Amino acid sequence: MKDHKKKTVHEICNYLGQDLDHPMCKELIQHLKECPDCQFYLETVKLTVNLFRETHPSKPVPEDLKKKLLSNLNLKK
Amino acid sequence: MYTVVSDQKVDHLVTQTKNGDQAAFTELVELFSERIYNLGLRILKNPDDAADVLQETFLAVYEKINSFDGRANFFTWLYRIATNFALMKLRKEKRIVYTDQDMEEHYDNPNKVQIHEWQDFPLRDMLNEEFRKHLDFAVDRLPEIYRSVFLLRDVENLSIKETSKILGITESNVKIRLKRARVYLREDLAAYMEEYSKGLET
Repeated sequence: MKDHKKKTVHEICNYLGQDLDHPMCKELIQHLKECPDCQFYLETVKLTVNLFRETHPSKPVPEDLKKKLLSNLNLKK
Repeated sequence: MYTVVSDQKVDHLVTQTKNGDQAAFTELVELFSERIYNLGLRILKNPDDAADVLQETFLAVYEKINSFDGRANFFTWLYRIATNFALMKLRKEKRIVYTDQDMEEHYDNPNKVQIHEWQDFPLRDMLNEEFRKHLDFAVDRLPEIYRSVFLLRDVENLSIKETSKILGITESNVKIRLKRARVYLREDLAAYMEEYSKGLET
């Protein structure tokens, strides 16, 4: 990444603590439209988060665990 | 996807449970079991430990429900109990993790940003067991609070406000830790891809 972009990356990094799709900073959004490198950086952060989600899908609670839980809580289904 | 249920419905079930309605508590358990089980799995990565978290959480909820005053959201209260149980278990493990200082030094202003290798990458082909383990290992190395923030915000999809309440840290702290965790994982993945790419060339 070119040196002149470092400041922008820092701004993007601040943006990264927010909702990734939240239009927090219009100036930054405008910059992203004009700057493929920065746009790509942001996209790859989103991609990383999405890849983690995709590789860690939710799993159902095993049936025997459900029964055990309700039994331990003295509950009937 | 988890079952979506309205706050009003949950409030009603909580009130009924407080009045001794066991069917209402059964419904609460069934509504939230999957979320709590998966939270345990994501923090501890072990089905037996996740099962313990699930059971301990609902036992605690059952015992304490009368002290739940309704000022907080039930869901946030439930998640806080479950997260605390999971983190207590996690603390018993000895893991090598980065420190808060490491995170601040390296991931607030990343200077070495690799951006060019990703375009042509067969990312979908990489979603295999080895890749999943690599991501697990990377998340494992995050300091506890970063890991919790990342899992609650980015995987469980909770809001900054909810995450802040569950973990007992300010919203600003959630944001800064989320930022560093995301940047760290992105950089880690970039390095992994570089290695992967070298492997393809040989």
